[in-house]
Amino acid sequence: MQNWLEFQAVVMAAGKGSRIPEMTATKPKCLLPVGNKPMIYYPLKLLENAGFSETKIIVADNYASDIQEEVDRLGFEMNLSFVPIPSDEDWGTSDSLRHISDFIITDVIVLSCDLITDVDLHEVLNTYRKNNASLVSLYFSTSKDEQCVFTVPGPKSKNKLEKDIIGYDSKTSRLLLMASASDYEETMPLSSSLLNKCLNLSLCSNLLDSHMYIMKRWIIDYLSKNKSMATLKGELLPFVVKEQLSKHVQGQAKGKPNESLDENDEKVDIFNIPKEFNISSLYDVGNKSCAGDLLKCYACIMDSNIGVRANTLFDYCRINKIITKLNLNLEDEKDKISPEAEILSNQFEKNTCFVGPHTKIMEKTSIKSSNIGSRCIINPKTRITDCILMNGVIIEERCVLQNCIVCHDAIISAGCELKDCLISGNFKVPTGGKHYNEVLTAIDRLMEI
Amino acid sequence: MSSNNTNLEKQDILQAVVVASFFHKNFWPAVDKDHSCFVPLVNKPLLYYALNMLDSSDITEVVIFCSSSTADRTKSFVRDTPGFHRLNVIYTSSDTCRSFGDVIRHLDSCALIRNDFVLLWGNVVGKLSLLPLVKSFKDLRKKDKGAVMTLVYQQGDADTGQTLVLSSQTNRILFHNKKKGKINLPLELVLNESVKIRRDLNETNIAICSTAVPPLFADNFDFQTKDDFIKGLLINEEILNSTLYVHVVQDGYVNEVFDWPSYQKVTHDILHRWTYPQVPEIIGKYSLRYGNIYFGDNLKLALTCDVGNDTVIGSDSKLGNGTRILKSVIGKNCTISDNVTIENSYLFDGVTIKNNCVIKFSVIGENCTIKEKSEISDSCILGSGVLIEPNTVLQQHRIHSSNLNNKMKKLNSKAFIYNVENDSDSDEEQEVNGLTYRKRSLTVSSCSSSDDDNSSIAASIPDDTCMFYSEVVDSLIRGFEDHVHCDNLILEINSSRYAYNINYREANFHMIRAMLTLNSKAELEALNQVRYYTQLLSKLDYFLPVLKNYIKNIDSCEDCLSAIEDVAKGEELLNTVVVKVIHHLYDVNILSEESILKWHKKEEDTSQFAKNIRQKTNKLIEWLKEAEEEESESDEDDSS
Repeated sequence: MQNWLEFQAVVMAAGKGSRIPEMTATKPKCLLPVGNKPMIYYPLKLLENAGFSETKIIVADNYASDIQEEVDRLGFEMNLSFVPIPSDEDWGTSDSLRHISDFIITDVIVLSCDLITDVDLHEVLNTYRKNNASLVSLYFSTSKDEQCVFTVPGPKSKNKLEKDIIGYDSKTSRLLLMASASDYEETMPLSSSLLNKCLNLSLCSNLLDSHMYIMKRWIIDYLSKNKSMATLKGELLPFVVKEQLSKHVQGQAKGKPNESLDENDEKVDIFNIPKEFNISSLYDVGNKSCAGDLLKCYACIMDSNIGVRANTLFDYCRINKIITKLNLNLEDEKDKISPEAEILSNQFEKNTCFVGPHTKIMEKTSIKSSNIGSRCIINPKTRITDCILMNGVIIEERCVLQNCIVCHDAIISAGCELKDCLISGNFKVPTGGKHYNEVLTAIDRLMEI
Repeated sequence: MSSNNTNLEKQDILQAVVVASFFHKNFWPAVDKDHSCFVPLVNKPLLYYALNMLDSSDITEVVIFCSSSTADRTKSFVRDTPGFHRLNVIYTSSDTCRSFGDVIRHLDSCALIRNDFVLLWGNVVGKLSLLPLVKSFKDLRKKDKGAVMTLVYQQGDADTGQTLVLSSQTNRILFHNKKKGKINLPLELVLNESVKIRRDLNETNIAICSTAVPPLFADNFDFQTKDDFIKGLLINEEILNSTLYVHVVQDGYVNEVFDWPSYQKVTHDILHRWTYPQVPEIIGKYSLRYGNIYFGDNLKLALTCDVGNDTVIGSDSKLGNGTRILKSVIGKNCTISDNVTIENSYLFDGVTIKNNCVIKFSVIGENCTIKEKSEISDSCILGSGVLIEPNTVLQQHRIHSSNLNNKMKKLNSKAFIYNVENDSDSDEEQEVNGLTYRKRSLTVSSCSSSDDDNSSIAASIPDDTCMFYSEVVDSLIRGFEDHVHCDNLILEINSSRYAYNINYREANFHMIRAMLTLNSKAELEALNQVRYYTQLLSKLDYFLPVLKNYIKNIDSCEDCLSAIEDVAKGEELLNTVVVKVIHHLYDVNILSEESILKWHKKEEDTSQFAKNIRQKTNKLIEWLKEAEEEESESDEDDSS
């Protein structure tokens, strides 16, 4: 096997899923089912399809064994190594990356476990190679194809998005501005250095940040020396993007000792590091406007049909509805409906459902457009439409479920009628309950987080 | 197209409005103010190019606005130019118009506009098919009833200094800014849709307008220029309910000639054939030679004359022996004698140049005569009919053939130097001319100065604290020199503080730092220790009210002391007198003894310098302690 690597891959799977606490109270986010696979399957598959043979997965230590067990069952051919990080210390993505910096010897590609997409990873990598970029970030344009309309389970709430504002050169798609709409009040100042740098700047607020980053090795070095940065998106990225405009970049810092202000003394200068690493980039004169720039960030904007980050309830539901369209892997019949499942139902729509192994679906049930996990038992005289049933769910007789998410090991007692509801893990819905647009959870457990 | 031309009603005929009056005298004295649109560009009047563009776009209904003094010349020009017989021209003129806005208001009052129209200035050069633009504008009007104008811009690759914010999808103008430097974009623009921020768009002075445009100008008397119009429409979008769009010309060539630098650039582009079909051998009778050399008819060239690249020589001209011409345009009927050098210059028709002259980077007006061994260089502009005596050396002068206001320096009976500084007739015009002149010399000399500009812009982006610090330094220096009242200085510092969001303690620190470092490096070197101290004292005393305002409590004293320490660290002279300075500040009741003692005790930072400076102050501290004891004793005495 080839020992020389161009990129090392890191999958961030230690996220707590703080935006969907109802579902992640007792289960790590990366194991939430999408289709019939845990969420983390998709980024890993993306990497494997692109030819990666080794991947590091950052996991929270309290779930490390669960995740390892489940991921091992997915049967990846590539080498997976799990790096546990302390779950009680609230580490950010930068912290995690710093933690493993000793193991990173090449440029690195960082993915989030909730990234589900079918883009060609090579296109993103090529953007990186072509521009000799310091950093490439992948964005999805979300403009088209919002025809998939549905109601999100749980109480009706406004799907309020945190809007990011991305500014990039329209021609070269060099990334020059990263900001959050909440940083500003009424006006957004654009500095003259930014305007001078780029004469044709596009500002977008409707792009979806995939949290996939490819970066040069020296950025990790910088990160390991600069301990104050906790997250990639929140701190490192905006910093690196902003530093591009700093005057250092113009190649003035030619070996001149840092005579500037006192506060710079102990701070590692970000421009010293790349200089040691890629002297060659000083000589590339391919693109006049950025020749000599040591720091070059690019945005890769993809017009993919599926590009979702399943980190909110809305996106989680959405990806579950459109997962069948994902052409990442071959979704053959065997894969969709486990042969180990026992299906006695006569009104079962094979094409629109996923069923996990050891699940028992009794006769006289009607099941449509639903994802059903493993070890579930669905008793007779029930009707299930547009639902997500995680592992070990028991649904007793005469239940009607529509557009619900039922988390693992929950029990729906007989005669329940649930519509647009979210039932959290291990919860037992009492007999005959009728609920609409509700989150059903054992409150005390939710408070723990 | 099924509609038949003959059946077209008058309503449907596309009109074009050409504004052939520029309201500037950028080309003076080479041409008279009102005749700017007749300045010869590659031996054709400037207006020719705009009309030619209309003609080649099959627009025949043309309204030409010109000032009344040029109306006859315009009419005869259009009538006598063979290519323009198709044009059906309506002339309109007015003496009261003082700006572009006035022209449009004049058009409104004359009711000459019947339909959507193409508006262009008489200084437009290039080729652009206008009909597709008009068509897409009509389509646009169906979608957006409020669309009143599509402005045409040419894509460039240099910074134009003008910022346009366009909607990515529709190219609608959302924001417009002509100033350099940072801009404040309303956040809602960005959140609603994705936008493009363009700084690479060059103006072309072509616009497709709806019939709503003239009434808009009529309703808003403060619209003087196109920029006023854009600005006004954007600000009052809800009230006026009018929207503006942009069309960017990607391929093809459109440019405008508004001053000498742009004149130079466009001439160069014409000679290099970017403007095809507006190239010399198509619009005039020239034969093209290798190296973009265009020869007119009936030339008399001496055998030994050397005609270099990028040169046009108008018909019936004569070139003498040993004459060199490079990158220049020579008009018709010019007589150039022997051993003349002409580089990067523009000679209008009928110029006579005698032996051994040198002409570089200059414009020579019609029928000028330049006598032997004269040297004219570096952006000289000669008006028509000027006579230059032998052996004259001229640089960066503008010369007119008659003395206009008796303030011009006389060279001879037919040459008067126009002096920018002495001319106090009208400030406004002076400014326009001066700017043009400087621009020209900039482009002519080298680009080094513009590089400097860039670097200074790049250098001027430090963080807020540094900005605050430098502003305070500025305020203090100016305050000290101009004897500004300290209360005003306090106000200034406070406003800087709010502007850069600096908290009190940081402000104190930087204010003291600034005060102690007011002398420049050079000044410092010239000063010895004693004089430095006296100077410093005088400054500190002057700023005493400022100090009193900021250094009020223990915390601020602490900031003050740490600032002194900080400056002393980098400034040897201050270091030598630091004890005196602290003592002085104590004497004038700025620093309390409590704070000095506290500062002295603070030993946690162990740098050598901090120790040294504290050692130096030991004596002061002892003295202070004694004084304190005495004081407390006396206090006790009082109380007992």
